[in-house]
Amino acid sequence: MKIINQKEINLIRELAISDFKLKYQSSVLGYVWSFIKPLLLFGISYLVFSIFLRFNIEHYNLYLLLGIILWGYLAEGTTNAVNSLISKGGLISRVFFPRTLIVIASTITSLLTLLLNLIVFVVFFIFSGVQLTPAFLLLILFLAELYLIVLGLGFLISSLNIKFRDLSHIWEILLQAGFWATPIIYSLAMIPEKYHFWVFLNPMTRIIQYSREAVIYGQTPDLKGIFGSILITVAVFVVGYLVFKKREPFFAEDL
Amino acid sequence: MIEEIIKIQNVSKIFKLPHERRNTLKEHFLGMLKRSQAERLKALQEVSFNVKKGEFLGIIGRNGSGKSTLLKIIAGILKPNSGRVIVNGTIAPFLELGVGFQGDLSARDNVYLYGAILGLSRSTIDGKFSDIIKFAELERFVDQKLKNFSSGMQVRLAFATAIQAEADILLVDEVLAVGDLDFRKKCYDVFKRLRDEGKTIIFVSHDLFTVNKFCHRVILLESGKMVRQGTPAEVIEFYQSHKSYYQMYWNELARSDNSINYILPNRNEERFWLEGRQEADKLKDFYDSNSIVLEIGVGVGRILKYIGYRAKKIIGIDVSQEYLNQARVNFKKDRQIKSFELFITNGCRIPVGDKQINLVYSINTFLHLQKIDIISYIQEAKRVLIKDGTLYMVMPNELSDYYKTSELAGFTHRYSQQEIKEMMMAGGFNKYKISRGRLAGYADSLELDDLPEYIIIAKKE
Repeated sequence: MKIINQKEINLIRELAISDFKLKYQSSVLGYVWSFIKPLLLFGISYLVFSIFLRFNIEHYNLYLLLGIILWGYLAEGTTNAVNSLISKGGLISRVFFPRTLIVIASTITSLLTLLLNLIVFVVFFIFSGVQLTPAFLLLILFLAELYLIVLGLGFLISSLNIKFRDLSHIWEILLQAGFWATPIIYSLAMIPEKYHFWVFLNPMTRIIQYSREAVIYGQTPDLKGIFGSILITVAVFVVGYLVFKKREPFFAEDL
Repeated sequence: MIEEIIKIQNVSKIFKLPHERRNTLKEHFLGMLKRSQAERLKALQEVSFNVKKGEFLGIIGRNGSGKSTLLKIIAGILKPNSGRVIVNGTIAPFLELGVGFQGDLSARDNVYLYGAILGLSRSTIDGKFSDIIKFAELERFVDQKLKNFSSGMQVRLAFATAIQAEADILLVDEVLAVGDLDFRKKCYDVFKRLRDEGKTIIFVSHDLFTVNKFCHRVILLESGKMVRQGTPAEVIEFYQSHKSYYQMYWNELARSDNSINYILPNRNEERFWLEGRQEADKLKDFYDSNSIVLEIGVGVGRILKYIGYRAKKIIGIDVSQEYLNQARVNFKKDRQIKSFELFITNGCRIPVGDKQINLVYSINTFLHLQKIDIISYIQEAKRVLIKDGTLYMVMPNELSDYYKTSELAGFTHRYSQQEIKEMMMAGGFNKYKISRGRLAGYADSLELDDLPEYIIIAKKE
């Protein structure tokens, strides 16, 4: 895999800008929507689970918000990616350029949402009075893992979606299922021990759980766990990338 | 400079055309139960040639002969099933309409996006933007969404952007056909400039006039095979005169002979002949009792019959022996016709020997034919006409009911006013009138005014 060059970076930027304009040009609040959505979900979940159901989790507001923000990036990034190739079908069938750039561009627009939401998290964090420890630096690693997972899944589902158009609907359902199968609203401790092996196979469990431990609770997650999460992340990325590369020569025909 | 910039070696491409396209999982699962009925279309078969640096190469051939597939393979968009393509340079592809512009973005945004695809940086485009817009003549529409643009405007914008790319090789596919004459002239100036600068250009077109004018070398494709390559004059002459590959096409047309009942459903005999007379009446200004009149596509002779009452001699040609037999029967029993001759034609020739003709007319015949054939017929008409003789054609457009019923038979082409102009020019008529109007109605259509057709009248100078 050759290192990305300046022309490709330019193209990713232009593709991302055009995606962004296409997505938000006809709505009044425009971009604000994708920024508000996770916060609304956070507000509702907080009301239901903290006030009505009285979950007893320390710093539940921060716990919940971080989980929703990280999951939100996965959901938005992959949803953008799944139809990215089809929506650029006209370009694919007329001009040759590395098709990977389309998927990369589609995951970049939602990075902006992630960034803005993280700023909101920082504000909450400051007002909560929780002490920050150096362990929080690990968040950078987890965000990198998250990005690689989104990109890997993006490669996988966008290339398969060209031939199996059902996939975009199936993916929507899988995201819903994933949201509840991952400890975002509830805590790991609420899941019976015997299921933990399976829950930890889900890379999002590890990323979200370890991020919380590092940022909110000031703990360093065990190295074995971090290593495992890197392994799963790389596996997801490589599988996605290989499937994409295998299908890539046929995109123009199959579209 | 004899460096080879593109090498095509034994390239073959096969498309699988499923009878039903499977796009959803359900269709795929159901499809596993029954045998796949994919048809294999050999779009390209063992094509090999090289392109030298600085060469202007033309590719010609009928629709479906593999020209566009070949360009897409050179551009890297499609992968050949076998064979190799080696390209030693950067390519600016300019394929099909609008190069994949995003309709919901403005012209400005599209230029930046397309520019980035061609490898131009934002600052480079900033510098060239006003040139691009000026060349495309879209100054007033810079911030309009592209979906509101006409196809001609989109092509102008795409072409203006593409020529800014500093690519070694430009691939151009038939796109200029939608531009108006002024714009095409500008494009040709650009071609000339690029050719002089030593850029390599591969140009796919049906416009043989332009191919002849610009290309150093021409390749003729037929059913995915390269059947000829050489100088433009040589290959174009071969293409226009070589008949064997027309054969299948004409046979197909002749097979649909019985489509007369199909094309004119539930026709009322009396009315059918009455309409023929009405159409003949509209032509009477173009000939007199000393004239020889030729009809291309005589059918059963319903118009020619009435012209035969007034003209000295009538001649009909058709691709269908069955039609001609019926016409012969109709003419023979009609005492008022002074003299007639009927010829079968094979290929785009008018086989009338050295006869000089006063009026050549064809009404709704050419909707079966492709541009190249119509141009041949126009050239032929010019050849057989006397000085001051008239060429009279009616080209149905897509609004006419004739077009619609014929479309059912599955071999119809639609031509715009612009394309008709191009065909007239290519056929050698510089002066002609083109109007929208209509002769008598066909079949059951009564609201004649709603169904305009193009009427073209040209005089041989």
